[in-house]
Amino acid sequence: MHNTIRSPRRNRSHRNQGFFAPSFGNIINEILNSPLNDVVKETPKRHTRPAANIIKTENVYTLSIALPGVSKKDVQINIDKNRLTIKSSVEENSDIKYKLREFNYANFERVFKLSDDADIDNISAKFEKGILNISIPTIKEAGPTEIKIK
Amino acid sequence: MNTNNGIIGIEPISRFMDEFFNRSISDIVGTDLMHDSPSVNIIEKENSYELEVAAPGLEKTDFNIFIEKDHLTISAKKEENKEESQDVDFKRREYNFYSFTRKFRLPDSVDRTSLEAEYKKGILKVVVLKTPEAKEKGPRTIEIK
Repeated sequence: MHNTIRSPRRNRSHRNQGFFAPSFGNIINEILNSPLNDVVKETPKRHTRPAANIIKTENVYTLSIALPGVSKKDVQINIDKNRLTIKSSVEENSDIKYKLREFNYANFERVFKLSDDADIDNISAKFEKGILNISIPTIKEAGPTEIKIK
Repeated sequence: MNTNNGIIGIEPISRFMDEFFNRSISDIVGTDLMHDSPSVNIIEKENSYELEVAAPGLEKTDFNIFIEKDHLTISAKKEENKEESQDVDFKRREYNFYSFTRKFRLPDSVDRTSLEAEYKKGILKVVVLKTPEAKEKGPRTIEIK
């Protein structure tokens, strides 16, 4: 009944151990098995800061923020000089009874500093399948310049 | 993968980024800080349990969900476009949900034959029903005499 379950993937993944401790799967099992606990407080990892990927292509940086379950209308994107702020501030429904809560992106703020070559007048954003993609074009490829010795 | 630190166009500055701020990109990309197993919320309702799997960016056909004996297994596998992935220059990579498996042991109160799923806004919602016995018992308050 209280066997250890380990996902095969997790066993393979050596680089992951520090983040999701190997016992993590067990905690979930215990939660589902015990009717009386208040597990929310004891959840070892709770993600409230959405993860971001940044991809560079030739003329555009794409900042992709993982916002599963978040509605477009709840997200604000602001640019102030070279600061790009993405945030959400939503009142939570306190009636929901969580047996386990590993994520909650109702309230967050992430701020990024854009480099000088970011074309801040032409930034665009699109929300798709729980991912907010923000495209930041670069003004031009600065590249290394060779200085000739006279 | 290009880990050239010299041309990072975007860098975090707020207190929300403290843990990353003093690291170079090569410390971040592909290290243990990356989310590559989705987080899960479990909500108990009167007649069911709802699992919310935070796995944005996938298609519903990428998922595989099944109950086998006492285990509920949720996995996903998305083929990365090879040509594309070779050219993709990640300056930061905090998540990658293309391939994962999470397993849950079901309590006795779950009906093994019930299983429904829906993928919306990057959340896979998996619903399992409680057995009729579990419903009758339900949570209750015990009066102190």
